[in-house]
Amino acid sequence: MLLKEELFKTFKSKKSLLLFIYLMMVAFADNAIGIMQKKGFGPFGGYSNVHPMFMSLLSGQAYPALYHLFFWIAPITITLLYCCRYVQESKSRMNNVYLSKVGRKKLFLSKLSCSFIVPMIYFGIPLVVNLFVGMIFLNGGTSFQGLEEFSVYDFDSMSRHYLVAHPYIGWSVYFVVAMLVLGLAGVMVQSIAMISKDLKITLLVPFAIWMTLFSAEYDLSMAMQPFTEFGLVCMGMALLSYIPFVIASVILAYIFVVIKKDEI
Amino acid sequence: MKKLTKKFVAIVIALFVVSAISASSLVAVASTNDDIDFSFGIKAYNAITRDPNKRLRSTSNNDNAWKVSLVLSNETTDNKGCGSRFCLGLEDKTEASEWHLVERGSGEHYYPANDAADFRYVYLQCQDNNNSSKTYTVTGIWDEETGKEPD
Repeated sequence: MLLKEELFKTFKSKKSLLLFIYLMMVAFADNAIGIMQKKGFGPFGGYSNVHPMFMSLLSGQAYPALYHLFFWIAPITITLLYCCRYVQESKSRMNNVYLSKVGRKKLFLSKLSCSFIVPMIYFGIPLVVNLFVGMIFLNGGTSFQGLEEFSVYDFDSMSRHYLVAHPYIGWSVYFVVAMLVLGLAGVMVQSIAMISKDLKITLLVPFAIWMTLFSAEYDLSMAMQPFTEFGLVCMGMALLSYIPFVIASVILAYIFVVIKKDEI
Repeated sequence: MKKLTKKFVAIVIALFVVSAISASSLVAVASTNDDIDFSFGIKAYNAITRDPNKRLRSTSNNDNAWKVSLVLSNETTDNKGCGSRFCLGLEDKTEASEWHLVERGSGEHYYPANDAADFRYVYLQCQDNNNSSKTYTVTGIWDEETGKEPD
């Protein structure tokens, strides 16, 4: 019941709508540049025969800066989309009303569930729309810029080879994992919001963790970006280095909110 | 007066011969399949990096292929098949060929140029194909025109 209420509140919020428009604009800009790259307009070129899946925003090849605007600042977008509400409600003592209504554990679970679902919806729709627009305007391309000729020598390279040979399956696999990663990012941000009850910390700490993960040995792009030289083993390793951060933040939030009863 | 005319004609002929020899040798050098070493750091955030040595592409034949071979790259530490994206670029970094993903240790690859590269100085441009914030170093050989057909 609380989860439904939280979701409806988010969908009705003007701030969420503005952020959704921002994400859609990034997705359409990626399409526009992808088309210009393929046709060779202005400063763009060098992508004349590429596959539409390869030019999707999830793949991040058309114009990497747009990928950065979409994925790299995701913790900040997620905070503004939903998680900052907890800080506001905490300051206005609204959380106490919810606590008396549904109880500590239920409130904790509802907040985490909502923070898991909201990013998947708000990031998932632009990615799917971007894919379909790309499939319409960039159809006919077959190339992956030579990735299809990369050598196969172990399970990781074999899985990469298979996903490049079957790009629709490849894109779908990475889309599902990207949604999972973004959903878990929402959980991590929400947990940090619950622990800190401070907007600045909620904006900065998850972003710092996120960017650290993007420069790790097995970085997050290996889990979310299809059609690179890395396959499913690297994806698994990237997820393994990411999930502990999420689990740790959830455990800490559980201790602070449910066990220590920090709220009232 | 006759002497002057003779001298003038002699100078003109000498200049013509010298320029003809140097031009033909330039073309001969450019069209040979050379191994120009490159080694530079790939920047983070998918920024384009390039070999500072520009080379004159003295042909308008796009099928006179340029080549690149990625010999070493420390993008991954486990020595697995990583790759980077290469193309020919002009002074202002606009592409003078398609971008191509080249696997480390996969030998020489021959690619066509496009019209923007005709009789222009070109650079070897490189970019990380992964959207990570890592930096790494690539080493290999390239040539702006080889006289060979593209792969």
